[in-house]
Amino acid sequence: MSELRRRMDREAEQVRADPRALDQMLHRAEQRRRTRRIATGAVALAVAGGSLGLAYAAFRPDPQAGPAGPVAGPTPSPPNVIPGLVISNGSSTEGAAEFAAALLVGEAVVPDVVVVSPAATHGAVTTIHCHPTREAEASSIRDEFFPGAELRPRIDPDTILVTLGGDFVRNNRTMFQQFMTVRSFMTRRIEGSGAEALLSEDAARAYAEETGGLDLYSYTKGGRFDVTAIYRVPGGSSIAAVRILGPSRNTSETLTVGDPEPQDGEPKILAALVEAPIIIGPAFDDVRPFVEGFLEARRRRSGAGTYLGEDARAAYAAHEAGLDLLGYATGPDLVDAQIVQYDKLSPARHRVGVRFVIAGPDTPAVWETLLIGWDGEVFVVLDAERGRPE
Amino acid sequence: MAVMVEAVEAEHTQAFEDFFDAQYERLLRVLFLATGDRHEAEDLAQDAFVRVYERWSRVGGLENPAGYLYRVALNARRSRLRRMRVAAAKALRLRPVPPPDPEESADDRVSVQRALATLPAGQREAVVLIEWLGLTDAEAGEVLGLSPGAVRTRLHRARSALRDLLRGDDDV
Repeated sequence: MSELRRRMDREAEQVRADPRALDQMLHRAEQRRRTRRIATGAVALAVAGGSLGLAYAAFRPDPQAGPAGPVAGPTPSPPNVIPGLVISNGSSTEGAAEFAAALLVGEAVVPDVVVVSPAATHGAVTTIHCHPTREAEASSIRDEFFPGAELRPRIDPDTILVTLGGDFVRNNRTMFQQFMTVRSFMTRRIEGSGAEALLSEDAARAYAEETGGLDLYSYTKGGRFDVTAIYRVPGGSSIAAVRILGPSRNTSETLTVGDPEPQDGEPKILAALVEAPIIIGPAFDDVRPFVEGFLEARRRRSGAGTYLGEDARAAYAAHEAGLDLLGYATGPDLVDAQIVQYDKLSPARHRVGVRFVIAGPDTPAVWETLLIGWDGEVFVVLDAERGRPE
Repeated sequence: MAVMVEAVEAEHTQAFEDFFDAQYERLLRVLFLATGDRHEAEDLAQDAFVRVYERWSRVGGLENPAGYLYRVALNARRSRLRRMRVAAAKALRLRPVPPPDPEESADDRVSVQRALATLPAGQREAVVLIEWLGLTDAEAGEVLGLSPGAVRTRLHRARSALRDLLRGDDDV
């Protein structure tokens, strides 16, 4: 062993792990999760605002009747986050538990609900199993989502188990049919044919014209999907968030689903919107702290220029296409700045899409595309453009 | 079926706890040697484990989850260093921070910690990962996002600097 190693050993032995380190870490993870949930709730509301516009467009009564008026958004209520919710399907209807999970996520109650396989026996009435310390939470979700459900005791305080009965689907029949329409639509896209039959005329046109990058099959065929959330909008339709893990890339879409001809009882996809691709992969973890630092520096109006290479500095200084280092990236109207797209172009080049969510129902999000370089020592923003990555 | 799900989750949790027990103190010490600050080391180690915990379903299946852990921790440290540099530059009205004077530190009483503190961050990380943690050049390169050759260069420079600082240690 070298002398250097011996000295380092001596130095390092001064530091010992706190026996409570694991608990402290888990506590920190929980705090982070809660913070993220609140942020997710805010973004969900922002997305809902945009999606409501689409819903309104789909339902507009008559284009000749005059200009469209403002769309009333949902009244936001504080998210009532209930951790550790587990849903099991005790009804005989396939997809009921997934629907319940998406419904709860859509209402910002449980962003990470766990769905377990169907219960061994089927019941007529939904039951909610909870530890006595969590009875208030269980009662709250019963009143809001599972009226008439029976409360039963549970030993585990960390989870609340909801076993769905036949009453759940009956009480939510219309929305459940809409959810299943989305599932069927997505299954056909994954299989590579037949999805057109479930599109309204407007939605079919949007897919045909590849509006905003929409495509029926190119990024879905052969992949997987989850309907992660669904929520009601005025007029009887619903908006579903779908995560697509495709063979070539990952994407999410927001689908408006409703029944354009109520008499036929067959819901259709009324409108669609491509959302940000989902970021996966360890390479992103390398870049993320740098980009977050850059966004934070801009938000604080302090030191953002130190992140920039020459080209990026020139682009921001010239305000190319409205690019602004501090304008929309700071100030009281900025709700959030999110990294929503990542592409590893090469080991030393990364492209990151950033979305700035600005307060106000009619204010569109601002996008930037950042080209990040790694010189073997530090990251630097090589170039920046206003707009979302292609 | 629900029982099976619970069993899988319990196994999953146990695997993470085993990983935590095996790696936490080592990571803490690596970060202490790299930062020279025990509180910062603890904060970084906790943050790194939180990130690994959040991704454990994926990271736990990696060939080398510890490598991933170290990379996350050292990247977070670099990010903090950058922020600190920005703050320091601002506090000093953009006057450059003078580097520590090697002559001043070069006495027999100098601690290895002070000697390490005189090295650039990249060299310090290389020397801690290889000399103390015992990683190979390739493994350290994977953690640092560098080629093995670049790691060797940093290590060589670090050793030379440390040899001068910790004088009298022919074996350094």
